[in-house]
Amino acid sequence: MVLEMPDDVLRKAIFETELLALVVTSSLTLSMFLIADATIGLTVENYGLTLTVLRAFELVSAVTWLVFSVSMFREINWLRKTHYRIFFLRKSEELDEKQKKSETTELVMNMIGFYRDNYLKFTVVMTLAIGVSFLIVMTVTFLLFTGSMSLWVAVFRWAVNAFMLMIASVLYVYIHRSWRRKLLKVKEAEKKLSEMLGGPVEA
Amino acid sequence: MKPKRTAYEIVWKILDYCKAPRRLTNVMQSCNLNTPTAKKYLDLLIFKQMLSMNDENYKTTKEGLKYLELIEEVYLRLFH
Repeated sequence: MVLEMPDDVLRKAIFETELLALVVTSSLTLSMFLIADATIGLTVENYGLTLTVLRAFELVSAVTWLVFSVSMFREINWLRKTHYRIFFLRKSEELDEKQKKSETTELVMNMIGFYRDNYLKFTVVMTLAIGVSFLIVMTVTFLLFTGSMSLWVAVFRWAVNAFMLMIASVLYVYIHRSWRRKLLKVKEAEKKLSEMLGGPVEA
Repeated sequence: MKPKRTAYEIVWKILDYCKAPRRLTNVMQSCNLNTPTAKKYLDLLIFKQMLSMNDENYKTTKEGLKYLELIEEVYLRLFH
């Protein structure tokens, strides 16, 4: 069955890009917040070598996360610009049905390209963030039980790192499920396309 | 800033652009390809009878349109 609804696809693609823009903006904010938290922790706290090393890890992962978020933010803004150009061309009825379909397909290809370029990087950064925040929660618990940290400081640290753990986990699950599913479908379709072209083609 | 394309997506871009007859330089500009890469793809598509060549103009054939239909359906369905 041939799809005749690029309008619907365009709307969904725009929605997904806006959602991504929101996610990346919160990711930017969170990484900056983490840099501040790790820096304060490193300069003010004095709970022994273990927590200092973990704080250093936190700082490194937060900086990596920030760099990655900035690059993603730029790419998403480029995607948004192309989406809105097509959206307004469609509104002003400057495109016929065939052009609309071609433009929408190109837009979807750009999104898949974005997923392909960023999937692995995103997974690695999120795994790092989950690992570091989990270790900090564990270390704070240990310091609390050994009496090296007061309850209120521990509660504050738990809250900060549990928030980071939660956001990183939600992002990881969303990206892993949504992007991976789409990338696998494209990979599967490539087999059929390569048959039409008489074998696999390298770019 | 443009994401990297796979070979199948580049083929789609060429076939979509050549729905109207196009010259090699136009294909290179529109699809952002250098001369050897553009020639590699165009030769392959002519060999597979997805493109025809007339007076140095390339045009998508019925076979090429079938490829376009298949790949467009796959990609559009991802967001449908």
